[in-house]
Order: sequence, then C-alpha cells, then structure tokens
Amino acid sequence: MNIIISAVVGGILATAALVGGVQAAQGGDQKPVQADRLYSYSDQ
Amino acid sequence: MTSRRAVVQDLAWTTVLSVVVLGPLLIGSGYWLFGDMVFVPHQPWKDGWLGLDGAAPRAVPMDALVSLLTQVVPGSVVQRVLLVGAFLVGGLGAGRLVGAHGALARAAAISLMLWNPWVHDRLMLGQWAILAGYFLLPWVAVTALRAARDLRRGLPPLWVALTLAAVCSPSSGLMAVLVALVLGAGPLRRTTAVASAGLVANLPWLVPSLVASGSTLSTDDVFGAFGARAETSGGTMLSLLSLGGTWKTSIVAPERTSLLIVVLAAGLSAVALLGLRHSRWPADSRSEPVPRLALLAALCLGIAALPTLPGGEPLLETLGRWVPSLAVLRDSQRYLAPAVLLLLPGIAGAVTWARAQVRPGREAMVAVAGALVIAPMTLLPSLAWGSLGDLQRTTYPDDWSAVTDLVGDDDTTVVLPWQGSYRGFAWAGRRAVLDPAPRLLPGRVLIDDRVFVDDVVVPSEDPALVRITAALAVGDPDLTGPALRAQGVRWVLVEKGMPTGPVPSGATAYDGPALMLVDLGEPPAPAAASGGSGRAAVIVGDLLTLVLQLCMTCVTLWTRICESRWEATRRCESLGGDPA
Repeated sequence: MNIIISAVVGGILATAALVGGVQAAQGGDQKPVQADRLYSYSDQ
Repeated sequence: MTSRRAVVQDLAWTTVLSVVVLGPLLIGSGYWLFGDMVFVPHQPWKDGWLGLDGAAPRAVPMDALVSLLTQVVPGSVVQRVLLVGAFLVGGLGAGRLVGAHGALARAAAISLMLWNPWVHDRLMLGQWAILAGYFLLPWVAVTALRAARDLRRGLPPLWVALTLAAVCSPSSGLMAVLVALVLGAGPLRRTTAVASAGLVANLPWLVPSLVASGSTLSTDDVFGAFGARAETSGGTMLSLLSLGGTWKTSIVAPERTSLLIVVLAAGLSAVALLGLRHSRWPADSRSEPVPRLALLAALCLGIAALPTLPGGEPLLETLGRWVPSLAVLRDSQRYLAPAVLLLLPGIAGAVTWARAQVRPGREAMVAVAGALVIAPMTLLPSLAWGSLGDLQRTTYPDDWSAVTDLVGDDDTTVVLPWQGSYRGFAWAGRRAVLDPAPRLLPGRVLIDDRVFVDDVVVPSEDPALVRITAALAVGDPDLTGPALRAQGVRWVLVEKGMPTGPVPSGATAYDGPALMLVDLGEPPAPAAASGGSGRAAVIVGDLLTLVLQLCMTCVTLWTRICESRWEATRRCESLGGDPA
C-alpha cells in the first residue's frame, strides 16, 4: 500500500513540478499575451 | 483560544512563505513600482486622500494612512512593512480560522491562503491594498463566527476587522461585509448589529462616493473588458474554481496557461471541498459553519463568473445604467477572494484525514498530508521570489525631487502625456505603473483618468479632467497654455520617454533627463475643485468611524486581557495553586 500511495503522490507532485517549473522558467514567452491596450501604451 | 505554541508555528510558516514571495523587495533599497503599486518617498497630505475634494474615492482612506506614515518613515519602508505585515496577518488569520486542527493541517491552510493564483494575480496587478484586504478576510470570518456564538463579546473584534478591511479599499470593505453578514447574521438583533458595524466601517469611502457630485461613473462595456477570463482551453469556470481567471491575461503566471496545471489546481480545490467533512471547529460553535461558508463561496463564484455567463454582461450593463455604482463589480474575479474561506477548513480537514489514515502498512499517508501543504507552491512556482526575479526594485530619478520642490501646495499641475493614468518609465524597466505624480507632487495634480483596455475606453469620471482634455485637444501650444491657465493650471509636468504630444508654451522651470516642468504663469483664479459641498458629511463620517474603531479596539484588547487572566486563573486553580 505504501508503494502505491508513494507512487501516486510522487507522480502527481513530480508532474506538477516538472510542467509548472518548465513553464515558469520559460517565462513570458508562454504567456497568452493579448493586445492589452491598458499596458500597451507603455510599450510604445 | 489558540495556544501560543500554535501561533508560533503558524507565524514561522507564514514568515517563510512571505519571505519567499517578497524576498527581492526585502533584500535591498528601492521600490516595487508596477501596476497600481505606487509608493513614494514622501506623500504630501491632500484633502483628496480622505475624499474631501469631491472626486470619486478610489484609495480612500488608504492614501490618507500612507500619507501619514510617510511623514514619519520613508515610503520604501512603509511599502515593505505594509506588504510583509499583510502577508503575516493573512497567514495568522488562516491559522486561526482552522485553529482546531493540528500544525500540519494549519500549515496547509496557510499555504493555500498565501499562495494561490488570486494572490499572484493581484500582486502582479500591483493591487497591494486589495491584497491586504483579502488577508484580513480570515479575521473577519473568525470574528463573525464568534459574534454568531456570542454577540456581546464577538461584535467588537468583528467591528475592528471590518474597519481595517474597509480602510484597504472599497471592494475589500464590501467583501468583508459580505463575509460578516453570511457568517454572522442570524436573529434580527444580531443581523442589525453586524450590518451596522459594516455600514459604519465603510463610511470613510461610502460618504465621499455619495457626495461626489462632480463625478460620473460609466459602466458601458467595462464588465466585459474587466470580467474574468479563461487561462486555458479549460474555460473560465475551471480557472475560477482554481482561484485564477483574472481579466489581465498578460500577467497570468506562465504555468497557469497549462491545462494540466489548472486541472490539478482545480483538483486541489476539489480535495479541499471533500476535506470539509473532516474540518474541525471550536467546541462552543452553535452551528456548523460549513454551510454558511459554502453559501459565501457560491455567492462569490457567482459574482466572479457573472460577466462570462450567458446574458450576464448585458444584465450588468443594463443595471449599471440605473446604478452606476455597480462599476465597482467590473473586475469580477476580484470578488472570488472570500471563496478561499471555504477551502481553508477544507484543506485542513483533508490533511487531518490523511494524518488519521497513517497506520502500519500505510505510513506513506503522511506524504499525502505533506503534499497538500506544498501543493499550492508546486502548482504556482511563479509566485516565488517576486515572480521569479521579474519584479525588480527601482528608485525615483532625482528629477522628481527637483520638480517637487518647485511646485507649491496651492498649485495645480497637469501631467503629460495625457493618455490614461499608466506609464512605462524607462527608469522603471518600462513596466506599466500608475503615474506617481499625484502622490509625489504637492497641490492638485491632474492626470488623464481614462482607462484604455482592449478596444474599450473607460471615460473620465471628473468633469474637470474632461475640460483639460478639451483644452489639450486644441493642439496649438500657444493656445493650450492659456486654455489650461483658464482652468486654474499653473504647471505642466512632462514625463519624458513617451510620446507626449504638443507641450503648452510657457517658461521652462526645470528640464532634466526624466522630467520637464513648464510654468504657465500664475492662473487668473485657482482651480475649482469639483464638488466639495459634502465636506462636512465626509468629516463626520470619518470621525464616527475613527472614534468607534478606537472604542472597539480598546474593548477588544480589554476583553482579551480579561480572558487571558481568567484562563490563567482557571489553570492555576485546576493545578491547586495560587492564582496570584
């Protein structure tokens, strides 16, 4: 039972950490940035 | 009553999380300047901070508090104290709300309180005051539940919590009142007492908004533009169920664009809902708080999702034409905040259940409990260390102090560029920030209060600003100067590095790398502040709130001292000792 529990918990956490960590590390390139006029002014 | 040991444990975990989130701000000088987060070295006192100038209250009375604090300590210190203090208050409040649980369960609740997409989004928007109001919600819940058990002893601390929340922002005050009414209402006497406390607590912004005769609020198209949005193909509701879904997609954490992460985060919320069966409450609870918390969460989810539901946006637009004050609901995801109060006891209950399952052959269940504690951080790493180092500290160029010295307390200044209130200063990394001029410069400072978002332009609320817009629209520098002077304007502050349009003709009083100050000459008459007829009403409202807040604080402290002494006496007597 311990092995099953550990595998499930570890698998979920590892997947979340991997996917989340990679996405976060890639930063803004992955953001669904839309033409945000409120702040687009600052890009001029 | 929560034990001192539990408080120390909660404080330790809260401190760790706070430092991990705010670390880059704490390790050096300078300011975090982005979005609506504007702190200045010294914020001069102005009537507008209390809503005495007739304008629609926005940061009333928080600006007054910050102004007073910066008379004593620099704004950079005030920013750090308020941000760290807010996080500590939130963590300790979450721990108190689930105080009947063990340390690990409380740690899970604290993690979820401090580390979720709603907190990330509000921090990235720079809405620090709304964040502070959110962190007060567990205290509002704790005190409202106490008032439901014992109105006489519970009302004073509830009153204190409601007022503190209302000080943060109008929307924070409204959310706190909603929490208090749902959790604390009951018989007519109790409901009346709670509602009265909520009303008086919110008078500092409520009265100015009622007497702001010159201001006009527009709700056209705003509910769609600022409504909750989906972060992934999973849809808006999935984002909201995981406490995300802000309207401003450009500040969404990168990992939140992954459907898997949002599904797992929603799964964490589902685990918390399942854990509610194992939530624990103080022994003297007259009724189970979970149904009330569930009602509160459902209401908040409904408000947050309303603009995205079929017919929701047109309904709000229609209602907004009759009741312009409904504009306060335009950023609908903001009102999701109180829903976390349902998840806190739930996640604590889930951890408690997992801990109870630990037995020979199932020792790994302790890992389930531990996973629930760290799950919020695992699912949202972007909140760590100032958005993973993205939020840089910055300092104001010397130009700002130079122009501040030139402008007098009775002068009126127009700030260019005249296109919205947000700026992209080169010295602040081009990150959009609310113009700091109104908080830095003395006197009356006029900036364009129109909001440009997507294809929507939210019009100006102040007729005086509409007149300035018209004067600047003339375009000819030789004509705009006199036109502005006719409106009572003495100075034009030009913020360089952005397209400003024609600068009105006048004497250049200061010209630096970041700013230029143009003197139009003494205006024929001082600028007339819009409104102001309700000044007395505003002052009376502020005094009433202040006096009652002081009284309730004293009563709360006195009750607390008496309870501590009574507890010590009881403990001594039970041990057969002398209480003295």
